Amino acid sequence: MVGLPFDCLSNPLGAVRFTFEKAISSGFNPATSDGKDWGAIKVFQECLFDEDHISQVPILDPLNISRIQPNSLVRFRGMVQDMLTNEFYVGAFKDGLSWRTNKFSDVSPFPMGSSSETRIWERRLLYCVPVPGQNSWAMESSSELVTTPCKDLISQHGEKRQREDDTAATTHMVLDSELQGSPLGSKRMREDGFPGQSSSLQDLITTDAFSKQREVPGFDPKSLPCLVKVYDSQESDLKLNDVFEFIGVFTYDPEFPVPMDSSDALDEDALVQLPPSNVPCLHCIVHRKLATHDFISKSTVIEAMPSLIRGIRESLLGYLTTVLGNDCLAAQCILLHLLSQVHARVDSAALGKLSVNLTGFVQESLSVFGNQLNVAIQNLMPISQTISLTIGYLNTASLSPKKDYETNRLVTGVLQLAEGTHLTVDETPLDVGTLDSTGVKNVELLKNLMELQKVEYDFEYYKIDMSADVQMLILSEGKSNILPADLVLPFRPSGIGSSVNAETEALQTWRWYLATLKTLPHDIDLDMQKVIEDDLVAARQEDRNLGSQDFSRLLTIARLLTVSFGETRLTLELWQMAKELERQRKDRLKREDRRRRYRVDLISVYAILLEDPLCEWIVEDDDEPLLPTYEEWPEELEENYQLKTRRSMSKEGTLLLLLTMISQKVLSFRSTCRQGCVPRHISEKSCVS
Amino acid sequence: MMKDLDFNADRGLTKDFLTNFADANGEAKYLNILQDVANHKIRAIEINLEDLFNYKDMDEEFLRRVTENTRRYIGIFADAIDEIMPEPTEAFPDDDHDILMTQRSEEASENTDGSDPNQRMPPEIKRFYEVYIKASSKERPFSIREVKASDIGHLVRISGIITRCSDVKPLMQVAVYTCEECGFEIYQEVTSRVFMPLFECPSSRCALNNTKGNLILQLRASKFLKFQEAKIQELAEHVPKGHIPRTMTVHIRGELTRKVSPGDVVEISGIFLPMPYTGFRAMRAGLVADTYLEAMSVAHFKKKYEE
Repeated sequence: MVGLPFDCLSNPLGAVRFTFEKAISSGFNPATSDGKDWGAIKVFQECLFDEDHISQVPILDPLNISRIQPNSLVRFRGMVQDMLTNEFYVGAFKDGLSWRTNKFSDVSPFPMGSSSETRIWERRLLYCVPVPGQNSWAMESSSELVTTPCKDLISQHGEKRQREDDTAATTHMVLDSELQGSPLGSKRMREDGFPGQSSSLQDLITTDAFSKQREVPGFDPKSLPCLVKVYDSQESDLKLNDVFEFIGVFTYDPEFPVPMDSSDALDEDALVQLPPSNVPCLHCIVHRKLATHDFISKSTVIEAMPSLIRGIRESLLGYLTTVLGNDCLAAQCILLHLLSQVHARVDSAALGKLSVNLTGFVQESLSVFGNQLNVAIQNLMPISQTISLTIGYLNTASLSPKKDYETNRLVTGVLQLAEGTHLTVDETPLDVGTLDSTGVKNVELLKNLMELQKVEYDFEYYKIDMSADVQMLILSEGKSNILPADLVLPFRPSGIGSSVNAETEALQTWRWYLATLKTLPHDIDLDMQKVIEDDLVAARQEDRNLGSQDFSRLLTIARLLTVSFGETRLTLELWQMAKELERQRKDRLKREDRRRRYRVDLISVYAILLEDPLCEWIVEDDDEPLLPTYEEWPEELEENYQLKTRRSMSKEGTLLLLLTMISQKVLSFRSTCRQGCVPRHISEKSCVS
Repeated sequence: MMKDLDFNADRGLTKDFLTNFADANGEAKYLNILQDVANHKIRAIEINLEDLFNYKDMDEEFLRRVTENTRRYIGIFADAIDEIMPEPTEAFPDDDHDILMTQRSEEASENTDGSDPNQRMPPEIKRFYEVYIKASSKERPFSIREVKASDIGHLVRISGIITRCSDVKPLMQVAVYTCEECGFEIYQEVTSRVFMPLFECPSSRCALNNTKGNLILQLRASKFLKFQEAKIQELAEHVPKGHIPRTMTVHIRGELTRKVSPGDVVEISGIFLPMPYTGFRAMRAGLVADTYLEAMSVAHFKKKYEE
């Protein structure tokens, strides 16, 4: 805006005061306004969004914090982790004859006489942390920004600050390599003679005030939480676990010493625990909600033409196939999985999610393909986390956030995740052991997250369910007993891909593809609906076991397939593709089920299913050579089996059939079996039940 | 906006109300209560705003003033009660407080220069009862997040679940000192959580003789009140989707103490007041005030077993 007597970016409080005075002269009455906005927000919105000065606003992060002037405009991207009690503050007071406002600041810029007429307004306090699991490429780097030279060096505590060389601080805080700009910035800073806040900053980073937050895995101890004070938003706008970008006035006063009051009075609430010297404070003027596609760098905006989309899809599929050892089916499933998000909730069911369980991982394949897959996901998804499940982990981890009434804060848990996070759960280290009550609770939490996309937060007297939108990928040896995924797929790599690294440009295109296409709407017109109905009815008639879960899964697959091609309507071709995919997956599952390990006892013909949970047999190492592995599965059995399964059979029926077949055929290649080996425990019931 | 505040007139109104109010059965409810208090049977006088609403002579304005400025009106009601307190009709054993009071009243009658402002007894010290103003139970109680900045100073009713309770501690209301030189009792009314004790005797005799008499705080003679602090949290049904429950601090005094324990679902009516920061926090905070609810009545949702 031309001709403004203030600058929004470097003197936002001045701008606020100016608009306040202007509003009063045109009839605004602070006495009755109850804190509502008088037009200041509009000014900032125009400046930042319409005129696009937003890139000039510095980002608040540990690297930048020493360079930013107090009371200047900054922005902060973070997830709302906790909501503190609302603050009542003196919003407006009469200084003699004229009204003054204290909105957007912590201390009053004008002296407040004790008898002046005051109005008390309210502001919300939100404790925000950087998004947990955010990958480094998705963070906005501060080197891209132009640090506006600070002309106005009037800071309220300027005299008390010492001028220090802040090279020490910057070397401590160099996190990524994306910071070529920062040494330049600090040099410019020292020329300006800006007093350094570096000593107190080092205290910030080493302080123990938030030790509880640091114990959560995945929490970067060098990341910076921020206390955001929100003034004019609706309560329903800012929910827990939402990711926002807050733009507002920054205050940070590291000079103030905090004498620790050791009284046991209850009025030591959150504010005593986080005095401003520990956590920077942002008085938010404007805020906007961020979705996954806001984390992708703006420089790769591609026009969504269908042919282009197909090309991108092919290349991404190729990359995933290489990563997954040439297993095309797995690559397709993973592609759909990465595009999934919850788009509707009906009766506590979350529609649109597609969690995948890749089974068949053993130690070797995990170290190769598991790692490759993890790296690929970290490169493609902006927010991702991994959990390794062991008995110890399940028994000790705090997965759900819990309210601590001593400090009056919500202590975070691993499962307090932003929308659109990708979570990989590695179940392969899980072995035999007992789960205690915490372990059982944690399993329950994971299961609920998987099925219902809900996490229970513990408030001691009651529990509150918070909805989540997390893509879950499980890697396990057999079918996961704990976590029921939507798509269970046995993983069959057939070779290690030669080159798995992708160039940055391709990666950026894929990131854009995944983030943008996720949000495409999906529509099924009436003819297609009819076709689908008929198909589903026919499928049900063929196989009585199909239920609503299977149908819903099929519909989700169809939807995600459509979206992956950049289309918005489901066509017949896509529907056929979806059905084909499902059929291939089911086939693979069936073969996998059959290829289990059996042990046949010489003395009596009991076939004991080794993975039967009722069976207490423990296979020793020297029993290994006795067991037929799936490579040795006699093909004749395969043929016989296929003939016999026209009618659907129960598990017991299958078992008996196999018993008879095995007893005839398998005894012949049991030449190396040991004599007199007796099963440790056999429960007869387990065979024939 | 300055309204026409005439506390004397209001005092008259309250006196009227207390003496003349007849409840549904036609009994003079408050006079009976006052008689019980005079007989030392109960120590709390609970004035129900519902009664005030139903009172035949009542005007709306008065009710509104009481609701919006409740703290002040507690004092006014207490003054009115002091004036109309009947004589005790039953004998009761003296406790320390009564003995002290009889001593003091004797001294006051001997003392001719009763106009010494520093020796005049604050009315607080003579009272052995508490006044509570209870909100009307007609509207549904608020949830904690519905209490806004505009409700500061008002009488509100909230429902919630108690999460923490402190111990019951004595809260000083009137500090009594004795002067070493002149031997008089000096009273200091304490209105907040912290107070600055007096050190030099301000009595007229000491001032006359120009002796800087040393004041010693007499805890036995000072008036204390039972005090308990609790934190109340929103009920699960009041928390909107995607938010976490809010908490509020409650200050409980006198006869209401020991009525609540953590885990109770209660409905508390009280005055929503700001608690200004004191000490180092005052220097820092500047603009911000902490708030709390001064409990006037506590009702449980579920009945506990009788002890």
